[in-house]
Amino acid sequence: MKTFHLVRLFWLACLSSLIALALFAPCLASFDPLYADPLNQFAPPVREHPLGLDQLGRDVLSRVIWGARSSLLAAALSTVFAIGLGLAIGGAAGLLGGWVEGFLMRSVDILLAFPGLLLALVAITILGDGWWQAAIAVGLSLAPLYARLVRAAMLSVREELFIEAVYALGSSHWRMLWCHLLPNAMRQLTAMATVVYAWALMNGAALDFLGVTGSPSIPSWGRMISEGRAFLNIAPLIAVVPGVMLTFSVVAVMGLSDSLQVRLG
Amino acid sequence: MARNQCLSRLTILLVVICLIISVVGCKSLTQKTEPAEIVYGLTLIPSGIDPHIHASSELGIPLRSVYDTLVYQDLETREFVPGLAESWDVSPDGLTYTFKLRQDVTFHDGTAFNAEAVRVNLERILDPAANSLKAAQLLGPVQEVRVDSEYSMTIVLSKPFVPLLDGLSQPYIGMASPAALSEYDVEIYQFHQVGTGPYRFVEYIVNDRLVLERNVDYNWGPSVVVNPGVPKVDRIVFRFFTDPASRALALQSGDAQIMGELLPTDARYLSDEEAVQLVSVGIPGQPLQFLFNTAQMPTSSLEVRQALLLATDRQAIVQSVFQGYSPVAYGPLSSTTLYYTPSVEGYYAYNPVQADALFNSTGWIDSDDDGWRDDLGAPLEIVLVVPPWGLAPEVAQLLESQWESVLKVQVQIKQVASFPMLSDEANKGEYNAISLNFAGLDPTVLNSFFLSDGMRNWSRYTDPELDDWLLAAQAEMDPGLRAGLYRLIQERIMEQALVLPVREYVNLNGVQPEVHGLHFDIQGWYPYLVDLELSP
Repeated sequence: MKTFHLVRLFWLACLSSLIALALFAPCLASFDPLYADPLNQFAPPVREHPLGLDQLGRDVLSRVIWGARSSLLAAALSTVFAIGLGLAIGGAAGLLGGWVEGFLMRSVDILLAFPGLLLALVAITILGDGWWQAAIAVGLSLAPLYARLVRAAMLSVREELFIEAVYALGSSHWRMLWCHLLPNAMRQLTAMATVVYAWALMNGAALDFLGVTGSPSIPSWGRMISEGRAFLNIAPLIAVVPGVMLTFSVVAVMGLSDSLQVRLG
Repeated sequence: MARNQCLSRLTILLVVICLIISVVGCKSLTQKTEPAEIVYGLTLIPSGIDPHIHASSELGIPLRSVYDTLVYQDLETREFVPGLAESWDVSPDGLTYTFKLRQDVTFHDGTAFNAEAVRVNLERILDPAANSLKAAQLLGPVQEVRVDSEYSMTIVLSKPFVPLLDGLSQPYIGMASPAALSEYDVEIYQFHQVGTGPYRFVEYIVNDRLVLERNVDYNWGPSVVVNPGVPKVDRIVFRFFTDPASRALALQSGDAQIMGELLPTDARYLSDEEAVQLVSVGIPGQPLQFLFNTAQMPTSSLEVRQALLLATDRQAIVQSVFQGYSPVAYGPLSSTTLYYTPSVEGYYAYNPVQADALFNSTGWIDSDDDGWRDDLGAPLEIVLVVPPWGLAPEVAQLLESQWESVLKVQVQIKQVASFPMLSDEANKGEYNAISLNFAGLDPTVLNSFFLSDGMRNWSRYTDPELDDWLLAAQAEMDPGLRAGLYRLIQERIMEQALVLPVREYVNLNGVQPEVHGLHFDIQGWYPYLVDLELSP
């Protein structure tokens, strides 16, 4: 029990430091992430620029820090969107049952048949490319997954005897959802939300990598990996550091999710 | 029993050994008889590869050798030399071109080449329904194509059009088999192209490969190539390496023997290795440039456009993004283009102080002290639209950095994925600058960009005097007068700051050491594949 507590604390600390990095990027980054000094491109690390300069002579460390901001924030926006939509669809299906459930779940099944990234790309084609459009697109691509999880959680609670009792007492659908179904499914839903967040981070980075998220100059980890990989033999840090940061974030979120599930489950 | 087992195991072992030996033996045998093949790396997937209809420079790389052209242009003397046309006459008024054609040429499908074939080709290009994006412009004001006899024909122009021969020498006006043209629909023909060139078109699988095989009957090569007969390399397979980072790797690993448009940083790195030869070709025509939109605030102001030019440190861009492999561009034409005017080199040297002062004179200043110039209370914004090729996104990011720090204007970069999307953005008109450039030795390449009703007047600029000059220059037969007109045109374009030229286009090709004889025609993009050889 105690070790689990410690593990959770560790992952929480990791994640908080990442979030702090994102929140305080303007104070933490010592250089403008867009300021280019082209004649000093690929400069090796020195004290002033601990990770060196990139292909256009921009400070890699500052770009990594600002990249945390756009990557983590976009993933948060995607997650909120995915959870909102997923709760609505999965909740309605789980609560109402019958043909509503059939219709909603078959629609979700159809969407799940497509790879998430493909869905996101379709959404971007419709919404246009840009920072928040990409975040919404990633959210949309993850919503079916979450809807399915929500419905599954609802079903397991719905079968409990006390729910029958509540119905017998004449409770409304809304009250049922809000006061009984959701609170009882909450622990599962929270753990799943963190998984969705990890997926949002990865899918968001994939879209950045593909270069469909608007301006190429907004620093983001996916974009930095995509641009930096052309220079792996000259200046490997440009692509490797954002790659490590992305991996670290996803591992931290997943680690937290695991420890949450152990505690809650 | 045990002995039996032992024997059968021995038999199996023997059989296996025999099989291995035969397979290995066969392999070494087939390697000996394997036809000579070269994999040639292309860098983007054209939206279409019918040379009469589409405009991509990439399509000419394979198709220059599938088609012959009526004339060719010598790289050194810049003279036109015979191709499918043995000789030609131009009337003194410049309106009538009479061609005498070769009589010994057959298409890859076995049909004979003659004057009627030329007529069919030219009329296909000129048909307005064909929507020709480049070839029709190269032909200019053709009024009539007349067949005089089996092997002679006449092109009649409605106005003199000097660059006609230049157009006829480009792969866009390659001579296709009329039989094949009538056999296939317009959209389908590009997959079944039939010409008279040293290589036959075998197959084109979009996104995957384009295969050419040598034409064993070929013996009518022009004087601009070393080998006028049958090519030495049997097969050339073109593959697409759209990701710039993959190109040098493919070359090093042997997945491709020739690779176009290497990343300059990779070229720098490979040139140190010495395992790969670099063949760099300057491309005449327009440099990598940004066209300023004169119909959109704030680039509608001449002072703003000039300030943006003055605030651009082109030398730094060329040194970093292009590793110094390209010359800095100063005007609307590269220095290798006909009638280039060196006088443009005096315009807009990098001068941040003057740029800032000039911008201040427009009244757009930072009124609320937030570090950005304002327009009606909001930060002033410059929108750049860039295609993904030619390192335009990297250049745009440097422009963003330079303009933001020198001029305190916010820059927004919009990257599109393809040429059709770029055209869409151009038609919408919600940009301040957009990047596109066309290649071409003759300065008429400027016409579609700077004529008021030009197809690519993405500067949205109207100037009757400039129109007059451009039209007079394409009809002027006297080279001296023509040069004078093009000098006026180039100076006017720069005085009005209609374009931001960045670098002269240079195609950096990487070639493996066993490949010899790669050379390009005068337009720079199109190789004469007939001269390629593989050393054993």
